[in-house]
Amino acid sequence: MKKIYFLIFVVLIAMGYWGAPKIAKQIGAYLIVYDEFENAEYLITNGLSPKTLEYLNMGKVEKILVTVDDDPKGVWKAFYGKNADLKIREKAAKLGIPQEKILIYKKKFVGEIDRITFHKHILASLKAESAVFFDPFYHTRTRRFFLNRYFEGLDIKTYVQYEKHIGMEELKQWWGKTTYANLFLEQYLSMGFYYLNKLLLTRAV
Amino acid sequence: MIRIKKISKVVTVAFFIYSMAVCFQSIWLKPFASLLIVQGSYVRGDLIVVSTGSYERFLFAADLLKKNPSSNMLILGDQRLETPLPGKSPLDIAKIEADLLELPKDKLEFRHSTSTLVDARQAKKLMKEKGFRAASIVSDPYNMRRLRIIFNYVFENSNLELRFVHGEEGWYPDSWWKVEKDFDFVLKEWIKFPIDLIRLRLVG
Repeated sequence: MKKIYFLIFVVLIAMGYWGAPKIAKQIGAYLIVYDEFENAEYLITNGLSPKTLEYLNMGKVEKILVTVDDDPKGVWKAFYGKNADLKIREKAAKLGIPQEKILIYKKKFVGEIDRITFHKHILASLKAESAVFFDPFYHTRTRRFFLNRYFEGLDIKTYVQYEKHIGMEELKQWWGKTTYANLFLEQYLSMGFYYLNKLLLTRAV
Repeated sequence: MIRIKKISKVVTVAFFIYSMAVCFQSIWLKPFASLLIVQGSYVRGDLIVVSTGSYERFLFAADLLKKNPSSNMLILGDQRLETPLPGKSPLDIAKIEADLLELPKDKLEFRHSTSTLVDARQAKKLMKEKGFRAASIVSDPYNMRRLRIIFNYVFENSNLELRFVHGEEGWYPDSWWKVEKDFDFVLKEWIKFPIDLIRLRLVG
């Protein structure tokens, strides 16, 4: 009997050894969402890139809405310099994006819920009918998760895309890179945070 | 009939436990954060060690250096990773940031690191190279317990002195489960804690 238990134990260890990387890879892959779309009124992003210009030129989007996390103690100045507006405008000029196509909004964000509520209010005030969100690839599922919950009842079509193409190859061994592991874990925790506060009947910030 | 009675008993007990958990959430949830926090104080002249893991801790360490210009600062970050600035790693961002904050260049050391364990090894190596006798390790409050275990493990029998310092502004340990940033941090630490302990015991 002891031999059978030992054999089962060895089989389980072997299965874990061979199966764990595949499961971990799937955990990473689940976080990636890419919605195809014909066109949208607004493109919401944290920064400008050649792809934003490409979408403007192709007529896929009409305006770019840049949201800046305006927390002097929470965001690296290196990202925007001391004057975020100016840096974004300069980048637009460098990329050849017409200034009138850009709207800049600044706010100190405390979390995903705060961020999505802010976007909801902006889009509602602009009477937008559609918007596409550009996010880092690991953040696209989280964005979709909160859009589904907080944009419910609004007549705004939303799409989520990542800018840089990421193949499954890059997801291999994500758990071996501390920063990626943290970022991937944070996405699941953000969604868990939403449910925990529902369960505890508390108001999440 | 007996089965229905049993089920209703289980449901009642479950509901009672849930109600208690909701009503007394502050009592049972607070220790999850407070157990992670270790407070020490900075001593003038210590080498300041900080990683690029969060901006808050970097800013706190930079402030310590500004107030104590005779100190030196070691900044650790992962050079393999990309940030929103194309072609720039977290360590590059820290270099730009140090310039923007006007930190004295001759007091700064930048080293590549991929984890807390490597942070500790790099700090020890630099201290031996440059002859520093003591260091203040700066991080975020919830990171301190795990950080202290790892650094103490690496610095064991080295005769080098370590202190662990964190900033308090912007953190909410008394209501961590209601604030997303704090919630993420606390849970991540509780996930990493046993993994790091096992890793230290098995691999070293």
